[in-house]
Amino acid sequence: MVGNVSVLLLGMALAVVVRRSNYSIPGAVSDVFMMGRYHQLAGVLASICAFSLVNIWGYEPCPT
Amino acid sequence: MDDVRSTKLLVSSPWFKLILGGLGVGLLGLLFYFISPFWSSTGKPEVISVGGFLANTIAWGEKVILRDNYLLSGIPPILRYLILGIVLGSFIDSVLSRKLTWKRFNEQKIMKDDLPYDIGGGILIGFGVLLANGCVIKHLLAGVPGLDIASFVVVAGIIMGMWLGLKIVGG
Repeated sequence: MVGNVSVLLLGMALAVVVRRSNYSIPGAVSDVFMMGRYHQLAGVLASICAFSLVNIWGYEPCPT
Repeated sequence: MDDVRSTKLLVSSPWFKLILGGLGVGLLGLLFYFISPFWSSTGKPEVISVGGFLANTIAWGEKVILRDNYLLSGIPPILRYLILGIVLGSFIDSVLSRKLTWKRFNEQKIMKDDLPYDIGGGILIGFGVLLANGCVIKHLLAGVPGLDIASFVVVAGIIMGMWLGLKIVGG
């Protein structure tokens, strides 16, 4: 129950961040090929940098 | 005075918003990773994945029809709460920012021009998610920073696929 609610809240936070910043990971990848739309790429690099903090604690490969 | 002006310029720049958004998504992905052992059946951390929800739905259908998971197993059911949260969060945010409106779409354009691409693209995404064991979010957000070689291969494939798609349908 606590896990479900925490993931629900996390999903809500994710939606707010994406809506307010116009940032989209899949959109950024396609924007690479469109002239003058490289802004999204900065967001992807920031995401990768933020998530790579996981390496400090040790990353386990995707379980699936 | 110049400092205030340059700060305003920085905040209003599209780069600043997107970098903040990117950092936010990355940190939320990280939070998901750290809270996941509390609900994971294996007790191991899981990585965030939106396409996993679709795969989870298929796995459920597979279990109902075939009585077992032959193709898919181990996809965390909790991902459905993540999707629910994304839909709910978008709704609440659009209400709070007074941007919630009914939008009428161009039916003729959708039915005639967009529908074949929507269906074809949807099938390709579903096929790709199952084949690659995850979507672009999982591989680009969690796999690449985790230096997972498979994710580098998947991202290279996604980039090639997008380039090919743009060549075929134009962009």
